[in-house]
Amino acid sequence: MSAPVPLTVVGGYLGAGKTTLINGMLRGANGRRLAILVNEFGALPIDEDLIIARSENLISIAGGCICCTFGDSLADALAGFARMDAPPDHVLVEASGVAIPSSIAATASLVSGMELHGTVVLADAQTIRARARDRFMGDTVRRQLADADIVVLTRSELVGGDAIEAVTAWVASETGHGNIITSTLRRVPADILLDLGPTSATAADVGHDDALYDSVVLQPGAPVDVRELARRLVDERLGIIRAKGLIADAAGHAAELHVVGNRWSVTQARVTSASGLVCIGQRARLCRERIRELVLELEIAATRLRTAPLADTAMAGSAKT
Amino acid sequence: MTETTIFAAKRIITMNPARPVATHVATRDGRILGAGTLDELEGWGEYILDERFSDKVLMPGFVEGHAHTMEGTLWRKTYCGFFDRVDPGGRRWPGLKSLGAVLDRLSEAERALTDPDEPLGGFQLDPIYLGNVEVTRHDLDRVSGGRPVGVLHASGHIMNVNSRALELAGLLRHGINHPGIPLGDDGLPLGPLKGPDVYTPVGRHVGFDRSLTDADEPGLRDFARLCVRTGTTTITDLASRLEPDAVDMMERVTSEDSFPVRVVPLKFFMGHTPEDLVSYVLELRDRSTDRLRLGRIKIVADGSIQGFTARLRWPGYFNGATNGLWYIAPEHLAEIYRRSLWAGIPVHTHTNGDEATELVLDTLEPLLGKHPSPDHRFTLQHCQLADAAQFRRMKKLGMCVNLFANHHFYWGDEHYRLTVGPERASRMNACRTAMETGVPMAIHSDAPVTPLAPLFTAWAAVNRITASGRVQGEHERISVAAALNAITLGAAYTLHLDSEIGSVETGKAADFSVLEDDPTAVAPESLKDVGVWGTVQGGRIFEAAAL
Repeated sequence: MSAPVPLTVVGGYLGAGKTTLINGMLRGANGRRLAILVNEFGALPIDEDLIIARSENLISIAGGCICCTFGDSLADALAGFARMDAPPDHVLVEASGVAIPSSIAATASLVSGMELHGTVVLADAQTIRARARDRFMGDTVRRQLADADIVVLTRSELVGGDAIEAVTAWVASETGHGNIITSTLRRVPADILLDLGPTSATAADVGHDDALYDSVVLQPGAPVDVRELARRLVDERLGIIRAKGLIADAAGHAAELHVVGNRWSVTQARVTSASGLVCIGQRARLCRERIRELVLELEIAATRLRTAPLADTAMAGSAKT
Repeated sequence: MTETTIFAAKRIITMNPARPVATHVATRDGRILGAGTLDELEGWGEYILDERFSDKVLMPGFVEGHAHTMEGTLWRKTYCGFFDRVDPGGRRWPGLKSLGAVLDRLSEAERALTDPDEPLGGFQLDPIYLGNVEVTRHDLDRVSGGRPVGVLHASGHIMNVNSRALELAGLLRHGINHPGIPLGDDGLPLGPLKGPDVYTPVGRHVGFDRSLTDADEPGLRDFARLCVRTGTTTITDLASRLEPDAVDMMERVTSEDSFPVRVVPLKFFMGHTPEDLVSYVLELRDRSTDRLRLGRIKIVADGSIQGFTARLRWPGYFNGATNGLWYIAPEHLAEIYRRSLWAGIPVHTHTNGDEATELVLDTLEPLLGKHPSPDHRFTLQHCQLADAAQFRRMKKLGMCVNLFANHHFYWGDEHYRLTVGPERASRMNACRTAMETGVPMAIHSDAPVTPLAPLFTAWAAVNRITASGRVQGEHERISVAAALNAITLGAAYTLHLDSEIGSVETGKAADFSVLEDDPTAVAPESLKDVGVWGTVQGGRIFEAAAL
């Protein structure tokens, strides 16, 4: 069986910037073959210059990416991707503006061959608080935020500095965590939300053109308890929004680690060589030193204990649960 | 060649106040020349006197304003419902009063299958009536361990499957974590699959394919037979995808000389931009024929009350359940309304909860200011929880309503006890309020959710009796005459067809329900028991017993 395809749910109310984000991701795909699943084409126009061909329910996009509608069966559409001879590198499911992302994520989680890599919910920094008070849609908008592993506050340039702090604090009170990043209309941090790719664990490869973000790259010098590491990386105080690692576990096998907001997962790696750990967060909040200390601490612990090897079954969790 | 046929009947209830009853009706070219006495009608010239209905009562053909042709398709599965129900072939299937009886009937159907891999499907299971028993895969494994088995609930929102079905769908494994999939003590899925998003991928393995909501050709033919058995001559298909192939099929089948009913399919809104939706429906409208009426849109705004997915205003669900789900955003709704008003396309919107109704009213009102459309007849479908103030707004905005009268009987006790509580349960499907407010009103079955049978639906609106025998909301009961109006002219009005059908009147289609008794003469409690001989549709005679 081939390795599971990472899947991200992208939610948020109408006008939150999902279209901009997804087009940004397609432009920044850098050779990764993304598959975008949408409810209906009308809700998510892909920029015309990116489109190579269209058929009834599939759009082919430059660089090997595709966009499909899933109509009334998300699970069928995902199973179709998983069965492809060359499955996509990453699947993004765009939830409709009134959908509850956790129910989409739950459905996606049923499909074998797919692995949930988190739910990203977009919120327009200017309008989100008014939306959350809307007499018809307010509770839906708040349920969407509560489902987010990461919230992206869009159009932050239209909101002043103090106001953005206030809205960030308010969003954090809705989500129960601080995995909130800000973006502007033109610059959505697509690379932070996507799979970083197995060969990307060098500083040069995870460069992002936004001064708001920073990353730390670590090469553990000894095998570590990867599950314990993943569990501890979701600690909010570390300021990590996204982490990916290919790390030797206590038995010396390569394990793949993902952190998306406060969700983590560890699976057996598709490749045999461990290439290290990369963590990304907002520049002002990423605690590079504490992350280094954490890895070091686990290296020492692992050397002492020689814990059992990683089992076949994947392990995952969330700081919420 | 124009031949005049005069039908003699024991009594003809015309629904035309200028001549409310008659003994004869003259028809030519499938239309009505007039109703009256034989003497009066002889003035139309040479005629053939047809006396086969001389001991029958004729009414205008019934119009079912909210049904789904998929009922025809479902009858190829095994009936598992609690109440007796008649299939398209006229066989009465006794209701099943215990889980054991359900399993026995499924086992009997299983024994009739020869191919060992052929899936076995059942429909209309309603565990509410079986003491809310959870039907597990172990139960269904007793029906068959080797072939996939799946049973769809009456609500259409839940399916129970056996182990083989779960296995084929890759779900018979540990680690499933989904709110719609309860697990057994062994950590494996127990069998119930709650919600179409969960059961659709499994349904494929038990013979329920994705296009469940659209009738296929045999299903459409079977549904038409049910129409004849229930006196229905015009029927809606209220959420059809109307893909080009399906439209071709419907066009071909409905145009056959032997096809007995006028079909009005509404195009389901999902899967298109508002712009594409309206332009496609405009194209479809031009393809309409006498027996296939296209050119209307159906929107679903919220879910169902008994499924706790309807959107309720304060104070919400009686049992404290979280408010329901929206299936459309207000901006999207407004855009479809705006374009449809402009194009003259009628839109019917499903709203079960009163908050969904409120959203529709709030959305339509400003648009009507910009695009005045005096005869739009936008219709609220179900609209079960609307209060008097909302009916007053509907009146002001020129809206129609199609109320789900059958719900009182089938789920009224649940609404009282669990979903909305005693007071709101008493006002649900407020037929009298609609009438007194002057909102044009129809009543419906939502078949297959409840059985297609307009006389039963009229009975439900007249009596408001629940399954346990209580009268729920006496104040909202309506007269027999008003209920008969709702299943004829009332429903025709919501479809802009009241100039063609809905009454026995000069110029209208020769569409009749042929009844064994006079529904205005029987006791109101017996309205549902009036026998149906068959129909006349466009002057063509269809006897139920001869189908």
